[in-house]
Amino acid sequence: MHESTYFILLALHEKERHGYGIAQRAGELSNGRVKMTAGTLYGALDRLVNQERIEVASEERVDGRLRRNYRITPKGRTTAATESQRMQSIVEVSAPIIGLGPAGAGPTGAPA
Amino acid sequence: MSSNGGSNYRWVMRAYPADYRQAVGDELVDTANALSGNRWSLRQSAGLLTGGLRTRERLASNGDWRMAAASGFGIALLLGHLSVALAAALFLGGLRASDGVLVSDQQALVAAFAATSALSVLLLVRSTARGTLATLAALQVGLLVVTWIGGSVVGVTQVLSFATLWFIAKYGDGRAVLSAPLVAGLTALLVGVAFAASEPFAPIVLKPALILLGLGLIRLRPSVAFAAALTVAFNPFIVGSFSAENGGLLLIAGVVGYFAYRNVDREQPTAPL
Repeated sequence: MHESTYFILLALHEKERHGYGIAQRAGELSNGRVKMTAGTLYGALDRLVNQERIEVASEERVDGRLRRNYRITPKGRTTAATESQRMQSIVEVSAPIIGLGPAGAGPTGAPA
Repeated sequence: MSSNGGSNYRWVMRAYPADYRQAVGDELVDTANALSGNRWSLRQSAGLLTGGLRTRERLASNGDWRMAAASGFGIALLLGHLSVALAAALFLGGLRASDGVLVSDQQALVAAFAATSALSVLLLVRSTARGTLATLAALQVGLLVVTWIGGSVVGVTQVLSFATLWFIAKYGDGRAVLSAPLVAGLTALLVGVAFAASEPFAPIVLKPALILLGLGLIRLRPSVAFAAALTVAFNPFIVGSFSAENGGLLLIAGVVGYFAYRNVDREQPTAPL
């Protein structure tokens, strides 16, 4: 899964958001790594809607212009959880090897 | 157009299909403006441009491999037109530079290719399907008549232009103007004419073969064929010559397309929301 797709799901996992809100929150959650343009954002949203991982929750009019709010579906939650577990298992395997373990754990079994 | 200042991204928004743009366009522009601090941004423009083309391809293919074929080869043919025009112009430019002479029928072909290419792109972008169809059909018929009278080869590029016309007509505003069987019939007729009128058969056999191969690839995955078609179209020398490189190129394009798109989930059709 593309990183930006994951962060879109994560942003919507917190609460319903509109397009700009999603892009903003995805940027924050990823420490600024995920920087989407409107074009890529809406491409990803359309795709996720197709896959039934998110859905349009409501539409509102702001200054006479339509704005849609999106929310995550149960299928989307499952996807996010699966992806999160996958990444966690990568971290667990990598940490002792690379020496960047959680809570300051250093490399173990290093040759004396 | 924008309610809160900023750019309206009017030109790049043309990359989106008309009905999609009508439904979601304002929201996209508002978001682009919000993300770029209400200033025009090259990055947002590029994002909207590629987003629009991808949306066209996605909506055009509509989960149906025949539609994917039409959209892929339609765009490929448009680009093919442009590349032929460019290659011919460069070639003639070289001739002029060396001996100051221009071959007149070549000159006419270059003009015709350039005109159809420019019109195709312009009208596709402006989404006026019926006007596009009428104008390009007239141009194409004129071109066929000229080449027929002139006794020169009726190029398959011209023959296949009818597929381009159909593509533009169908996806320019989302409505089909010509039906697929009609286009198939026209194309078959013109291939027959081309066979009767021309000496070198190789390109005439080659291009339908390439298309069949492309259709085969689409069964594998539409995006692969799309990538393959684009790559083929970018090579002006495919348009008119048979060589092992052509086959190799298609193969490479297919492989590149496969690796480029293998992680993309197979998408279901979306109607514009």
